[in-house]
Amino acid sequence: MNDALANLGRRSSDVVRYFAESAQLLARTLVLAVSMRGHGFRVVRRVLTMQIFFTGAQAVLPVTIASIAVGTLVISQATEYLPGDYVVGVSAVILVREVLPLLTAFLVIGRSGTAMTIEIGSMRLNDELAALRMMGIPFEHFVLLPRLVGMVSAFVLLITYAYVAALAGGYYVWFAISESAASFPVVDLLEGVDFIDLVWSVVKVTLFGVVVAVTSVQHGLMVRHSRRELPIYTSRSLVRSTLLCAIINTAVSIIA
Amino acid sequence: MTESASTQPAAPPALLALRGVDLDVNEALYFHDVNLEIRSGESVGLVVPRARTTLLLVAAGLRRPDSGSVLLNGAPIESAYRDLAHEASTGFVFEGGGLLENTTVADNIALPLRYHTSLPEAVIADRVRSALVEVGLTEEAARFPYQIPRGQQRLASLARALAIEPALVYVDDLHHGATVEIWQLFVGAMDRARSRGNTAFLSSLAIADSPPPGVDRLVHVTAEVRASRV
Repeated sequence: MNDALANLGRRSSDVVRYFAESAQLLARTLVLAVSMRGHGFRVVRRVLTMQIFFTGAQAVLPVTIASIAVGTLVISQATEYLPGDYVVGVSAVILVREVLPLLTAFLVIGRSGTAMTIEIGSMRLNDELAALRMMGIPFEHFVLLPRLVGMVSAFVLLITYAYVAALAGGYYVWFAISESAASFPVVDLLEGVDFIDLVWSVVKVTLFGVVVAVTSVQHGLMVRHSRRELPIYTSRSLVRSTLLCAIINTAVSIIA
Repeated sequence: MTESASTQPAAPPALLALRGVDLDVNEALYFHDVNLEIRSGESVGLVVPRARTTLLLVAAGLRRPDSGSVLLNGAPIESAYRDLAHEASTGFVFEGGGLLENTTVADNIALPLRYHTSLPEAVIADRVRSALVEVGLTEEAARFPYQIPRGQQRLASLARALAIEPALVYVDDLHHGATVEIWQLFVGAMDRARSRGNTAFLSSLAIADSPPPGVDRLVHVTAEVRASRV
């Protein structure tokens, strides 16, 4: 009993320490972003562009396919089981506010979050991070800030893209499969999305972007001695990012 | 059980000073009361039997000693790193190079110049070209670090460290695995940096019965650091 309590206490203190370190890392990055405005901008901008390209542009195809698939599923089920008046509203709300932000998060975590952890871990093992420090280039400014901004920007771009793909793509795919099923024009579906729902889903993905970037980078920094640590911290980072996004998603939905 | 070293008695204040540094490396090894001073233009070789990198990391402020202090220009090295005035005043040649893997050799050398200066790209390109000529890597400019051998990676790392004309450069494991050709290029570049820019060097060295040719030209003062465990 005592061992169990001691174990629980240790785990709780680990969790608290982890979140405190995450908050510190984020705070240092934001302070540096403000205090070093313009400093080294051309270098940071290049890293930022690459991050947006990798996380955003290169993820367009998987996000499109997944969004159309989920859009088709939700619209088909709504058409099948809901009274006509509810189909448009319910489909739009479920997709825009709940499903698409989480779906986009899972894809970005699996694709870019894990890559980021491995990249930072490798940089640490190769002395690249120590070399940056010796060159007077703060890690938070050169490594974390562009990844943070890139991740958030890519999330917002991807979610916007996912709306259109899920609503319009899902509608037309379902229409092609079952001609008589869609008893309303596609524009109704797009107009069925409330502005406030869009705002809340953008709030969600912004928080997802921050959490995924910080979690992925922080787990990369935990790699210290050997390449064998890379898969360990990468899988931890994936699980932790996924759990945090699921919790944030629920919390924001309850608040909204 | 310990330490100790000295440099020539000279008037100017020490660029880098280690004062009473104690460091517990692991169960079998510790350093006790390491004292060292380096002045502008000097080249000091730290002859250490084991944990050479660890001691050099302490001297560079990348690892905290258990006690004692490391001063850069008279200020604690941690505060020197927090102060952006420190920027570009030191360089480090890691044993493996420490080059950014996703960036070409030329862009690696250009990185500190792009970050710390507002020089136009054309001027930076000129300086990178000169740095590459200096270390004999003009052919490798567009290659990524993983595409060139370890010795050339260390040369590129030296070129990157010297590109910003630093006051002090740390070199880990000075002669580690260098071929004759790489070693000559290394010696030449360090020599020229010292005579031209008065750059100081602190290098770690393995104890060797037959030191590599040119090391006496390169390293003026040898500080032997012994380490043990009580």
